[in-house]
Amino acid sequence: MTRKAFILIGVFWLALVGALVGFKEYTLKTGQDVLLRTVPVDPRDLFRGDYVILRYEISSLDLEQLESDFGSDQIMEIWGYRHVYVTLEVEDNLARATGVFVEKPEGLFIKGSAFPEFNPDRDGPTVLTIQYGIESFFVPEGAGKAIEQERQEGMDVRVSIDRFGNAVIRSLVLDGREIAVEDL
Amino acid sequence: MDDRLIRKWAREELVSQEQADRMLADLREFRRESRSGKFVTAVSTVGAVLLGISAILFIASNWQELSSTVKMALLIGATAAAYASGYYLKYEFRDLPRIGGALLFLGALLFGATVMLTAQIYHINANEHTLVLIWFIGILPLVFAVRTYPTAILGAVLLVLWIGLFATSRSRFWGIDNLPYWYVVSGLALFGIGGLLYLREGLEKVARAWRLVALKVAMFSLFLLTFRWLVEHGRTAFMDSGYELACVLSIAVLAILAIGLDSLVRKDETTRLESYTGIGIAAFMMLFLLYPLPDVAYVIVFNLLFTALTLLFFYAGYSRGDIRIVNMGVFWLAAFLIARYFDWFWSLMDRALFFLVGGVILVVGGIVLEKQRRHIKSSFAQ
Repeated sequence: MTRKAFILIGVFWLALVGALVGFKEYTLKTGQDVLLRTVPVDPRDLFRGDYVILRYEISSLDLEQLESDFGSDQIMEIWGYRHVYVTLEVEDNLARATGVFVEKPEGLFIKGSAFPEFNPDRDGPTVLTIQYGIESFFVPEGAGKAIEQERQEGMDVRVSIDRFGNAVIRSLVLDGREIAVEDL
Repeated sequence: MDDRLIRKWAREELVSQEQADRMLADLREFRRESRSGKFVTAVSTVGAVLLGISAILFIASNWQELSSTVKMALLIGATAAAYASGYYLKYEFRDLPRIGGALLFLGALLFGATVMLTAQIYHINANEHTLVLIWFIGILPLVFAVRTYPTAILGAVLLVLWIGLFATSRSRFWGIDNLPYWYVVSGLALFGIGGLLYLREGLEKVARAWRLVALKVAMFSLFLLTFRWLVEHGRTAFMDSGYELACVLSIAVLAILAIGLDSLVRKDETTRLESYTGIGIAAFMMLFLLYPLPDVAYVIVFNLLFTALTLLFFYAGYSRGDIRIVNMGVFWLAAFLIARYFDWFWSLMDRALFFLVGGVILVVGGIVLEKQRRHIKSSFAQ
């Protein structure tokens, strides 16, 4: 390995880590903060190692109850590999979904990957499960139980959303009180 | 070179006794030096792996006594220290090249740990495939710059891991059923790319490491496809996802092109046989995914294919004088026989008879395989 290669690889590593940090910091610094309400999930699915699985009210959306630029007959075409944009309406800091679009909409929206949910009672799927990349909250070793107890009483997550729809978790919120990881 | 060959030359007076003694002494010294060097490499690489695991576990514990900034600074500092000291020991001072290589490998591990720490700080989703991709892309230039087995294997393992995470993140039912298909064609593509790397002087270690990882991945996946339930479930899920099907078929095309190109340039008979087999399997995978024959027909073909491949391992290992390839054949043949024994005979026999016959088959099979392996090993030594 030449000295030039040594330096270039070192700079490349710094650039990759820097880009990862920069990408997330951009969202945190420029994004709009909103609260997202979490919903209870089966406790057995709550932990995987040392992180908590978060599921939000906006993680499961029924196309028949929301504004959309595609019909339920096109739902299979967006399966997992096309981004969808969920428009949000904020009331008392708490964000709720108003529509799901494949074309980038105006206003506040969050970007995610959509998967259709199959319901045997209906002809085809009309409900989308959407992942926004904010479904894991990492906790110190052994702190998961405390979060589980807090979550039983209802918990929100403060996220920052930038103008491209990327979201980053800032903190957990319980009764308007921010919970720092150190408090758990 | 074998001692017996030198003694034979001395007996036939092709070399004098004095020359033969000198050659034998040099050979002994060379072997001792080589053994000692390999031992140093093995010990220092294991040390690097332990340090890397320790860093990753430290991150996983998410210890709150240190702030994220301090943890990040510590990890970046450790990565830079391992990477720079490795470079200087191996390439600038050149007095401890093996330790230097192990430290560069540690640098590659710590770079990955830094990526994972960043992901933890920003709560990026668990099992996110892009993190492994970033790690792989980051160390890829290092793989080709240092050209050592540990970094080459790390690169191949990360690529394989990324493919698995990517596949499971995109498909229905988390794609577990489909993984064998992804991995058969990915293994073949990696095998082909490894073959092409052999053509570039100095990249032999990277090529061999990638080919060995590719063989293990492809054989394990093909082994899974000898089970009927996996063939049925996986194929159904694939048919529902045009995107996924397109991805796997593209990798199969890449495999055919890479292996085909390799076989055109390299002339020896065993390589050609390997290449034709690889191209055949990739083409068969495309046929399997595109044309719906009854699943049972494909299961039979997968079983025949797997048996033929284990025999090809014996042939290739024997032709090349490579005991590792022969051992791989022995391992997969044994695994295959055990699996089929449980599949076919469980419901037909009384359990006592089942274990009796099974025990006899395994013991006799073990004796035959061991004898065959020893025969091949001793023929290599001669």
